[in-house]
Amino acid sequence: MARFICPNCEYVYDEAVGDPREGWPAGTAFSAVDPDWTCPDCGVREQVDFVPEAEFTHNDQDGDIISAETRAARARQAEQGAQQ
Amino acid sequence: MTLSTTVDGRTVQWTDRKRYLWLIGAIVPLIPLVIWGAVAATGWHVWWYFGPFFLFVVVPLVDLVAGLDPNNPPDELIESLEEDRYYRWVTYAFIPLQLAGFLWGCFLLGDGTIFGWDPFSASVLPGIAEPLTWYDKLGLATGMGMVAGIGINTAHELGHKKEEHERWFARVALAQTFYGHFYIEHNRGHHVRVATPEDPASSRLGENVWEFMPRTVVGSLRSAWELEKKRFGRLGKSPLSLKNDLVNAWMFSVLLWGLALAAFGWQILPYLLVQAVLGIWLLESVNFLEHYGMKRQKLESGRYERVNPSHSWNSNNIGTNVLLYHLQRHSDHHANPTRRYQALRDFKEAPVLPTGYAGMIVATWIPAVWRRVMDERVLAHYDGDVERANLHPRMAETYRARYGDRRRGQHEAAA
Repeated sequence: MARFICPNCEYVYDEAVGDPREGWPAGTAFSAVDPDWTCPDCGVREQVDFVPEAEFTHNDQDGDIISAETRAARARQAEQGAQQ
Repeated sequence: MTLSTTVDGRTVQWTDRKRYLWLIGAIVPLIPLVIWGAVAATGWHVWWYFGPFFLFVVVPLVDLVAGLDPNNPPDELIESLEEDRYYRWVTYAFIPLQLAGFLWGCFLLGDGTIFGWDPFSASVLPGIAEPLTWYDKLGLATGMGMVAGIGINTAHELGHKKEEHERWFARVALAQTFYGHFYIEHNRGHHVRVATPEDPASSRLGENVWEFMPRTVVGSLRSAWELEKKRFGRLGKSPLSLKNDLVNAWMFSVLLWGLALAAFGWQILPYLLVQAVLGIWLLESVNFLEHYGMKRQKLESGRYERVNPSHSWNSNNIGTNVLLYHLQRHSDHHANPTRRYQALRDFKEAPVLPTGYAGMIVATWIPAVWRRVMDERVLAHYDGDVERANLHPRMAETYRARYGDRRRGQHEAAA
């Protein structure tokens, strides 16, 4: 299951989790999400703008300024990965 | 307090000189309390009208005297600045003070009784000898309306954030004005379509504020409902549900207004309506001036070009900026909608208003004055090409006749 990230605010769409609140149940492939669906956090990027998380190197608006939330989430994930 | 970080062996330091000034925004909702105190102390009825005087005289004067603040945090420190929790607590503090100020105002409007109990007896208020006249109460309602509008700005800051509890705080701050749908429409509607003819909340070149008002109020409500209906359509459920973010946001208003009417009497209802209408009018006035005439061009793909700093009007006037959590650094806000207010930057290439939002609202009142101040600036922004602006259909022919030769002249010069 792939993960896709909003290149502006770094919201992550995880196919395993989906976004049930937005109408995408767990397991919904990202390709099945409407192309004009807007990022639920920032609203200024659409499905077609998202990039696979692994390819995300810099913010498409602000370059190296990557949000603290994303860094914290990544650190948490890395920690969980290490524990498992 | 100085922030500091080390990047590639180089130390970057920066001090936020506005750090404690942000607290001013948090005490604004106490205006109804301040008004009462001033009347009790002096006996002057004119104090009841302090709210609009503060917003449309004091703040614009502060903007003119205190001048500009172009100070930006360095890129390297934006993350740590956003993480500093002090700044979010400043916005959270607004909300209990807003509720307290609102209920205190309602208590005064209701002639000092609470659920029929009359602690100060016979329509007398604490510290005030005579009962309030209808025009005293109307003045107080205008003051409550100013707070209501500034409350929508606080809701705006909180509603953009990723944290769920901040999104709920936003809905509480919108309760006073019954404008709960703003939280949805602003984030998922306005930000998506900003500076396009399709956005009800982006004003057009030649449009005046009075015709903009019904268009934005009705259009935004309709759009908010459509957005939630679409989401519930994907869920396969009816939008008539408490999980609908419009419905649950409006429920806060039903509770707050219900409590106020039950406690202080149905007679306060006209004043509650006045303050709500004024709050909404303030917010929509700010919408009017934030994107006046701005238009994103359509790309060959059929999508609009991405929002960039050239699509919003900005101001570095420190008075209104401190009052409205850097709302006037509007280009950075639209570029990075989830970024926290303390970390918003001024962009050198962004178009700039002649003064702060508070003073510019005054200029909207007389459309001829507004056009005189703004139209040339819009034209200059588009190098004299009126077709690149978001032209108001009603005025399009007038504007083409007035400015079309500049466009031709420019094209000839280019050839």
